[in-house]
Amino acid sequence: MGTRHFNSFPYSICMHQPTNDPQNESGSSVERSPIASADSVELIDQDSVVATPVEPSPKDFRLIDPRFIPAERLSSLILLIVTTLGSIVVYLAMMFSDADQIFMVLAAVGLTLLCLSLLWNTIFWPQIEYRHIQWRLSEVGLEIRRGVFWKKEIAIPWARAQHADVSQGPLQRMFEIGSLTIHTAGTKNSSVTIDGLAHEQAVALRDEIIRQRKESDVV
Amino acid sequence: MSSDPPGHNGDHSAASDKPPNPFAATNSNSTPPIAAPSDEDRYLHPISLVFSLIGQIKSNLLPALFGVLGAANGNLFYIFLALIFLIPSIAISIIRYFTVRYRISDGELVVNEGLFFRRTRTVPVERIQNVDLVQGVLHRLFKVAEVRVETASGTKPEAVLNVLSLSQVELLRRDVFEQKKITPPIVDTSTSLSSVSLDPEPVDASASGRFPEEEASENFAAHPNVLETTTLLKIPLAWLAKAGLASNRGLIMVSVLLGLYFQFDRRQGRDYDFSFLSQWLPDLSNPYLMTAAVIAAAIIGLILLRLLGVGWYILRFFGYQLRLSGDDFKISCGLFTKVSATVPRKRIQFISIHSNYVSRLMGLSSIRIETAGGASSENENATTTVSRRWFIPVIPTADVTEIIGKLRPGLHWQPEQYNWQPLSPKAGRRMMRIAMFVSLLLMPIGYYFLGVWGCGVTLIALPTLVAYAIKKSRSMQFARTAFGIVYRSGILTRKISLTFFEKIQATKIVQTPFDRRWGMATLSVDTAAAGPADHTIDIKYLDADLARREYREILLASAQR
Repeated sequence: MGTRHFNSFPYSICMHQPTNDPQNESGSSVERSPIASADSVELIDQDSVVATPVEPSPKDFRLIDPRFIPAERLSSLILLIVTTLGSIVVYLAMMFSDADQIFMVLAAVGLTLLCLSLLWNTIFWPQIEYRHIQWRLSEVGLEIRRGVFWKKEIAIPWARAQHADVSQGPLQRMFEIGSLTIHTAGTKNSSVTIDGLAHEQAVALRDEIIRQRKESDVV
Repeated sequence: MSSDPPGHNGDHSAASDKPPNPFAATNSNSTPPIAAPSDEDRYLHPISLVFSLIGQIKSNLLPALFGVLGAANGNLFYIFLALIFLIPSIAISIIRYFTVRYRISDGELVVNEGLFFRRTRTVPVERIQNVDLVQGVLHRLFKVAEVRVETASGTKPEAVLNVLSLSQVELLRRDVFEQKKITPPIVDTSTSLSSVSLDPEPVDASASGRFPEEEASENFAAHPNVLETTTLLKIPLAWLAKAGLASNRGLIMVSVLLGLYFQFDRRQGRDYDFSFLSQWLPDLSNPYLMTAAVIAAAIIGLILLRLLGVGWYILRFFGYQLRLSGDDFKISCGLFTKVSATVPRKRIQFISIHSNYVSRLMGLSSIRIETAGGASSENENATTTVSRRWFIPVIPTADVTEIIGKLRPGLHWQPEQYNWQPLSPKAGRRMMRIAMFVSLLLMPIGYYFLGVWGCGVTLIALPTLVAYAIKKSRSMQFARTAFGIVYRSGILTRKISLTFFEKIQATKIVQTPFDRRWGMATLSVDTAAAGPADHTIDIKYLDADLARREYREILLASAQR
């Protein structure tokens, strides 16, 4: 049964995806450059993509769409700006309300650290996160790996996918990426999400999952 | 009929367009209400008014109590308050009684309700899993029952009909199962007081009248009309008593009662004065006598607790019967509140066998199951509690193998012979380290409360926690078998759970930074229900390589079914 699903999957739609396969690395980056911003291509071309494999892995795990990085950066940037402005307001308010000298120093250090960590979160974190989201379709189903520190790997057999949705926030829409959520009849992991797929690919995947959803009850 | 707009419900001309029910045509020996065409609107039993009112009052228990208490003191405000809560309740009950109607037509159960906001709920009959009954003492007095129509989806019953007469219930059940093209279970006189005779002709007629010929004959072969109903298990009173002795139910009941008592008492601002007790007690100034009295009180208390537990078990499970009718398990039990529930065999996702220390000494276990379709712990009701959490409240451990074979035909349950995989050899050490850390943390806390002697807490906690950690790490084992995954754990209360490859919805492996340092991983499988069994397959501290291998194998096996 698994094989039937596998064979009928339109592979063309996911072939342009970059992989973490070392041989493929340079070629795929060229392929994706038309859609990716120059910024992200430059970042991915560092050997870092293959430097930290989650485990001695089968070669066919794919990375998500590189436009995930600028989208994440933008959303982090918004958070950074809001927080920085907020920090300045708080600090000014403390200054004018004659707060204790010690508190002033503590607040200055704390708020600066907060803003710096958000800055780091804006500049460096998205590409680290990007490298650690991988997925693949195999004869058994959809497998997802993610997590930088807490590494998770989850697999949903084809026959267990009940339905799937694609969602897109305003920022994601700007970068034409989307999230695919697959629902199973399960409880704890009843919905599994891959963020940062190219939107049209997410839609194609969703349609495929819906098409392959077994007619009979799976529970 | 399914295209009827909502609110079109009372229309009998639409109903008369349909071909007459073949059931009614052939089943000449049945009583008039039973012979009624199945797609005619039916109403609740008149006594619903009372039950609905009781339900309304129950849900407004606190204001009602306030009102009654205050009204007893002649406080006008409270009388007013009571009326405010009572009048809408009465009005709602009356409206509900006159507006709720249901019918089965075109393979759908249609329930209409509401006066201002009309609601039509349509449940396709083939989706209906269970038609469960709950009968309290009052219900049984009036020969009615609360009916819960359950489907696989959702956490709540799809429709609740509160209340129907037993003959209506039987009619509903029969219609549902007839439409499902599964013959109804044999009506057994112990649970239903109506005598519906189900001779082969009606079903045959309905099949040829409504369904294509070949489908009907195939159906007929697949489901022989008279389903074999076998009684799998009857629980005698002695087992229930033993189970009650072994359980901590009494403790829970006492704590609930105490909580209620104190809560209500404090409202009236009463001081507690237990000095009146002293007139019955001997003079306890002698320290030896005092000690003896305390010990005696403790023992008496313990015995009373256990007896309460026995009482709970008997109240709940008196006359427990597990029957297999076709492919459905039927449970009926209860001393005052009778519960009858149906569990379709193929909906069983997860089987969990529990036994605590005392019940193991007595050679008893209990079996819990999980079925698809809800039963999250917040939405538990009498039927789901019995049919899932207490599927088999007590069974001799020796009989477990046989009953599991019935739950899952072809499965020979032999836990000793499985290839049990222990946790990582370092797991004990890791858990021990956590235990040491915790007991060291206890030291300053003990010091804060008890001074220098408080540090002694650590001296006691350290060996206890370490021993516990080692024992616990050894108790957790899992096995991948031909049918699925088996997981066992627990030192005092031992639990063995099994699930099947075709029921596994997702497989997951997680590695935390700590895990990576120890070379470990957590392996978990997700099934369609996780709650009542109180035991999830979520195995920590496995050797990382083993976990990865098993993850792959489980994934492959579950994808193939």
